[in-house]
Amino acid sequence: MLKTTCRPILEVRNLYVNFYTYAGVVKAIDGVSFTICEGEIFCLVGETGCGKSVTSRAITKLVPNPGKIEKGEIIYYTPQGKIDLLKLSEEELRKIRGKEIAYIFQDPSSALDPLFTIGYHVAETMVEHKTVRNLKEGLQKAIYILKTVLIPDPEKRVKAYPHELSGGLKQRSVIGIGLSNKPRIVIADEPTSNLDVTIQAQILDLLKKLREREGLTVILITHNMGVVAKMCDRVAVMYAGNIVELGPTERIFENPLHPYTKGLLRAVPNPLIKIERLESIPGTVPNLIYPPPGCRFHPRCPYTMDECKRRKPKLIEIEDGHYVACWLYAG
Amino acid sequence: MAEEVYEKKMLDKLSDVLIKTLAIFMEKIRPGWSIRNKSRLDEWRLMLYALNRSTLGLIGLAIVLTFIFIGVFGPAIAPYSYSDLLIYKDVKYRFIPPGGKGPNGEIFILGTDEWGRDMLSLMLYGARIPLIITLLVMVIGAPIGIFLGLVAGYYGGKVDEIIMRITDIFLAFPSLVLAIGFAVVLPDRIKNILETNLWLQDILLAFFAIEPVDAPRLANLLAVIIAIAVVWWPGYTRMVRGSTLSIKENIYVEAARAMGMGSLGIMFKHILPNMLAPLLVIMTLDVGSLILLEAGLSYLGIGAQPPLADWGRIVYDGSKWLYRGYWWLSLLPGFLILIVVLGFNLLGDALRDILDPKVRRSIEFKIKRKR
Repeated sequence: MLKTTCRPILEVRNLYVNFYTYAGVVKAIDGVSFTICEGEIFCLVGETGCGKSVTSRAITKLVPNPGKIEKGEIIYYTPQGKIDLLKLSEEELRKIRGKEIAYIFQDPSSALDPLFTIGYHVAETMVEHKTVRNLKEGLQKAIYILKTVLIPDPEKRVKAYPHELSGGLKQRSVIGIGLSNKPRIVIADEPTSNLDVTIQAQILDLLKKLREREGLTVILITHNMGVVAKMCDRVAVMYAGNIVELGPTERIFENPLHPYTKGLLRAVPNPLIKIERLESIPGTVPNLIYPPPGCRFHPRCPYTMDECKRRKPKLIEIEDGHYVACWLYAG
Repeated sequence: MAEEVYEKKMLDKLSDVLIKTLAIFMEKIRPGWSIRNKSRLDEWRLMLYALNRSTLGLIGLAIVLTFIFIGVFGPAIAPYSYSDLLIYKDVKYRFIPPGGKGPNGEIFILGTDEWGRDMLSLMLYGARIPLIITLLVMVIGAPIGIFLGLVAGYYGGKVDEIIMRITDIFLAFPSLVLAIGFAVVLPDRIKNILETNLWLQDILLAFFAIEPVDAPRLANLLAVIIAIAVVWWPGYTRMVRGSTLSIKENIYVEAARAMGMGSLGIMFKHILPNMLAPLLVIMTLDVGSLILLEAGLSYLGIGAQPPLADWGRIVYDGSKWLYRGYWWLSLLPGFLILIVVLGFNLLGDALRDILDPKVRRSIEFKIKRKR
C-alpha cells in the first residue's frame, strides 16, 4: 500500500501494557506504534503470547484483568475529527465498541452464549446501540444480516441455538454479530484458527468480500503466514511485545529484514519462495517479567551484536513503507 | 452390560399428558406459542422423565407439594381453630391421646394438648408460618445475596474485597445467635409500624391465618423473617460470586463487552441465567435448612408466640409434658419438621440431576434407540 493513498483511521502510539500478576509485572506490550489506513486489511502476526491479542484488546480498553494500559495514545479518526480512545470514559467507549469498532472472536463455540438464539445475539447488539427500535425489529434485521454473512436458510437459523450449528456457521454468526451495527473497523482475533481448512478459506473469502462491499477496515490477528499471504495488505510482525517489522505483505515475504521474520518465514511453507527444509527458531519466547535488556530477540538471534544487548532498536524505514527494528540496519 | 433401553412408565405417560395440556392451554392464550416453544416443551418433558426415574426425588416432590398444600389450605380445612381452647368447655378435653375420644364422643385423630386444642388442627395451621417465613426470606434474602455476589464477582478488585469482607463478617457470626439478636431487638419497632398502618396489619393477619385478637404477636413473626433474611444472604453471595468468576471467563461475556453492552446487562442477561441451575438446587436445599432455623428460633421462644400455631413452637410447648408421657405434643410436630426438611433435601438432590442437560440427553438417546 502506497503511503500517499493512506488515509489513517486508527493510530496506535507508544502503547505500553503491563500485567500485574503474583509472579511479578509482565511487560506484555512495550511501546507499540502503528497506523492503520482506511479500507485496508492490516495483519498482526506473531507467536503465541507475543501480545497480538492484547494490543487489539487495548484499542478499546478491553485488556483483561490484571492488565493495565500504562501509557500511550490510540487515535481514532472520525469524520468529525480525532479522538484519543484511551482518554474516553467507559460510557463513551461503550458507544464506540460494537458500533464503530467491532470484534470477531477466536473461538466461535464459546463466543456465543448457549442460552440465547443466534438471532437474539445479533439483535441484542443492535438494540444496545439503538440501531433498531426494539428486539422484534432487531430479530427481523438479523435475518438480513445472517444472509450477508452467507448463512444458508437464515430465516430458520435465527431461531437456532449455538449448539445446533456447526463451527463454520457459528463463526459466520459471530462475524454477523460483529457486523450488525455496520462498524468502520473490525478486529478479527484469529477468526479461523479453530476451523477446518476448507471452512477457513470460506471465512477468509467472506471477510474479504465484506471488506469490499461494506468498505470495512479489518485488523486481522493470526499466527498463520498462509492467512497473511492470502489476506493482508500490510503486516506487522510482533515479537515479545514489540513490533519488529512492519510493511506491505509482498515486501515482507519477498525481502524479510528482521532476523525473527526471516526465521518465521523459514519455519512455515512460504507460498512465494521455495525452500528445501523448514527450520525452527532456537530457544523459547522470553519471560516477560524479566525481559532481556536491549532488543528482546537477542538471546535467540543468530546475528547478535553487543549493541543488541545494550539498547532497544527503534523502527526505521528501510524502503518505502517497510520498517524494521533491528541494529543490523541501523548502521 | 446389557443394552439399556428406556421403557416408558406410567408416570412418563402422565408427563406426556401434562406437557400436552400445557401446550394446548398456552396455545389458547397466545396462538402459535407451542410451535415457537417446541424445543422448550421437549426439554421440560425430558426433565419430567428424569424426575420419574428418581424414586427419592418423587418422594421429595410429593412431600414438598403436600407441605405447600397444607400451608395454603391447612387453616381452611382444619376442624378447629388454633384458638379453640376446649378445656374451657370441659376439662376432660385435656391431653387426649391420638385416636382418643372426647367427653362428647368426638374422635381426635392426633389427640389434644394441654389447652384441649385439637392437635390435627394445630398441625394444619402450623405449616403456614414456616411456609410464609421461608418464602419471604427467599424473596428478600436470596436476591440481595445474588446481587451482591454478581457485583463482587463481576467487578472484582476493591469492590469484590469490600463486599466479600462484609460477607465474611456476617458469616463469622453464628447465624442462630445473630438471628436471636435481631429477633429480640426488632419486635417493638415493628409493633409501632403495624399499629400505625392497620391495612398492612390486616393483610398480614390474613396471610398468616391469624385471628385479629392475636395481632400483637405479628411483630415477633416479622422480626424473625427479617432476622433470618439478614443472616441468610451471605451464603448466596459466596456461591454466586464463585460462579460469576468462572462464567465471567467465558468468551461470550467478553464478546458482549466488546460489542458495547453495559455491565448490568451482562450480569443479568449473560451471567445470571448461566448459573440458574445450581442456584435453584441450592435454594431448594436451603428451604430445608430455613425451616429448621425457623423451628429452632420458635423453639427458643423467639418466633411465634403462643397461642399461635407453629411447628417449632409446638415442639417447645410440648416438651414440658414429655416426661409425663404426653409424647404426642412434641413428637408429632417434630416428626413433621423432619419429614418436610427431608423432602426438600431429596427434591434438591433430584433437581441437580434433572437440571443437568447430560441426563436429559441420555434419556432422549435411549428413547430414540427404542424406536
